[in-house]
Amino acid sequence: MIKKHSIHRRMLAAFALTTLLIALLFSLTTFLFAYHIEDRFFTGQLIDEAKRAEQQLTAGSSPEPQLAYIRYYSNATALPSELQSVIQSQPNRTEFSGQEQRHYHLQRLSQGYLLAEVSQHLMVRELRPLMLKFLLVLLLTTLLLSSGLAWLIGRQLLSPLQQLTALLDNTSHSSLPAEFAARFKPNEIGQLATALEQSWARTNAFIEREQLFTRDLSHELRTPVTISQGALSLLTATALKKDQRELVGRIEAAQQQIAQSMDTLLELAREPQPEPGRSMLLPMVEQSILQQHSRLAGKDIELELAIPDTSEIAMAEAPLLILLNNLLANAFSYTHSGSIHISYQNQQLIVKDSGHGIPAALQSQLFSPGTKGPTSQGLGMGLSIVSRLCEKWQLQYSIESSATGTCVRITFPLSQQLYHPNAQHQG
Amino acid sequence: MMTAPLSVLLIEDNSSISANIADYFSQHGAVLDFAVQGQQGLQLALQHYYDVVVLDLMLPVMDGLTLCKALRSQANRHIPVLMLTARDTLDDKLHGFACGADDYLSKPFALPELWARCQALTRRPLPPAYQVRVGELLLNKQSRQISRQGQLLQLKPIAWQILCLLIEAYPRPMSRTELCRRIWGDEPTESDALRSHLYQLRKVLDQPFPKPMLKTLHGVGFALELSSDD
Repeated sequence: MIKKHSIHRRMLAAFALTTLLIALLFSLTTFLFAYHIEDRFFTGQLIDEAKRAEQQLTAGSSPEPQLAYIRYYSNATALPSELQSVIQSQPNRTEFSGQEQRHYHLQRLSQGYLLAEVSQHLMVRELRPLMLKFLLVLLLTTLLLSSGLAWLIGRQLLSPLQQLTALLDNTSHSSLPAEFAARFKPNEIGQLATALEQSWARTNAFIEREQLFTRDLSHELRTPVTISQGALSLLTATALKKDQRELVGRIEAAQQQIAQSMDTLLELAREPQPEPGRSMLLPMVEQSILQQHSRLAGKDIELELAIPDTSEIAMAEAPLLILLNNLLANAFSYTHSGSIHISYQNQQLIVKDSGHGIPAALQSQLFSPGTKGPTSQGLGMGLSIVSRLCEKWQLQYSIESSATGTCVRITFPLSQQLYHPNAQHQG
Repeated sequence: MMTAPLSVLLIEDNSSISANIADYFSQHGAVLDFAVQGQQGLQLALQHYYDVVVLDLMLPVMDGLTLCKALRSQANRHIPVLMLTARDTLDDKLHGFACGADDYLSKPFALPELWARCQALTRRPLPPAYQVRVGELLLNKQSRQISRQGQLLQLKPIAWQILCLLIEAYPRPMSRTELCRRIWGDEPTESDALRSHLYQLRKVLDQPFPKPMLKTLHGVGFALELSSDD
């Protein structure tokens, strides 16, 4: 496709076409000019003879032209028969083509006609094949020259553009050489390079700020969470009264939720990095259910699991667990009774609950952050996070919801190459 | 045979994290030294003998990665190093290993996991905690006996194994797959095998007592539950 639309090729074609057109027009003009001069010559000869003939007519004698190819005819009927019909229909015509390559020029006199049969004196007709050959050679030469010129100019114009493209293609975002625009001449392409460099610098600064922010946030959150998690696990090992244990249980649940949200949000904030790996699905789902089971406490819910214990997913364990935790946390939180089915077949993980569904009014904004149903206690981010995780890892997903429940389907790729095209399989 | 207590050098500038680790490790019989900045940590590690160094990455004076490299080039023996860090991307981990770390744990981590990893790094068997108590249950590994409320439980080998695993994991629940894998390895087992062993375990562990301890979590996991007045 690029070849078809290549500017270089189009430039070449335009130059060649223009040259061809100019050369053809030039050849046509040359021929017209030659014919015109020839005609003017014969007309001039005839006018000279006509003057002499009129004098002879006035003197009462029959005109006798000096030039051998000009003859006098006293009336129209005496003219060669091949001219008579044409003269009847076009009485003012002065030039005629006859049979057997004969060619006539006619001059009317006060009495009769002077007729020149010029076929033996037609210079242009004789020179025509030679002229055509000469013009063709001229045409080919100019065509070659103009194409060469077009190719040269094109290369000169486009090579900096190609350099720029190669520079952008072959270097990663962060390692682009500083001030690369200075390598280009200050013409239009130089301007493009400068504009690119500036926008690049802005993007890089933005990415750097974002990365620093994520890193700082990660560090600043992880440290206190580590402290409270450690202190909590020490606390649970001490003798606690029943009400104290209940309070510690609540703190532990909140602690786990903070850790999970932190992992998820930081994962979303990061640029996707190939983290190759495969995971067995069933143990990961079980682990996720056990991590989320506090959300089912006190509810009459039947949990049905239909995942073959041989199912393998082309995704590393850590990101898979983050996805499952968000998916199940959502299903567990918003189902108050009935059942939750988790199944896997044909690369598709289906989580179907009998919750009250997502209100119709909210379904269109399902994937916007901050959208929440009337009974939601969360930040209203659950499904938005699930969808963003799926998009980040390029997993197909669909969410259907009605008053009788919600069904989320996620399709996993057959191999991880599908979701990280550049990743090498590292087992 | 008594083994010497595990000696650990903890290089961590956050005093609260240090205190947590110190409390947990000393409860399990380890002896700890502390450093709050990199230079001091390196000196201690080079001057004294430690079974394992637990090293935070963000440290004042000298950062953890530099410290680890220096330790590897200056120490006359290989001291196992476990890195603790708030960074958890794959690149961070690979960089840590490239600087000479033996293991890597990102924050937040569970204290039991840190302890288990330190044990594994020193290639020591788990300490001979012959007796483990979980509520009414008392496990004596040496005599291979488990009692509840002082009554000896007569368990078949697999049921004994399941109960031991649940006691060790307590209070964390274990999933069905995890239990099967720990008992039978990766060999495929009949889907009902675990169920029948659990049934036998319940008959001995729970039936004779007023309150059951073995709890099934939504069919996918199992955990021991203490009655509220334990």
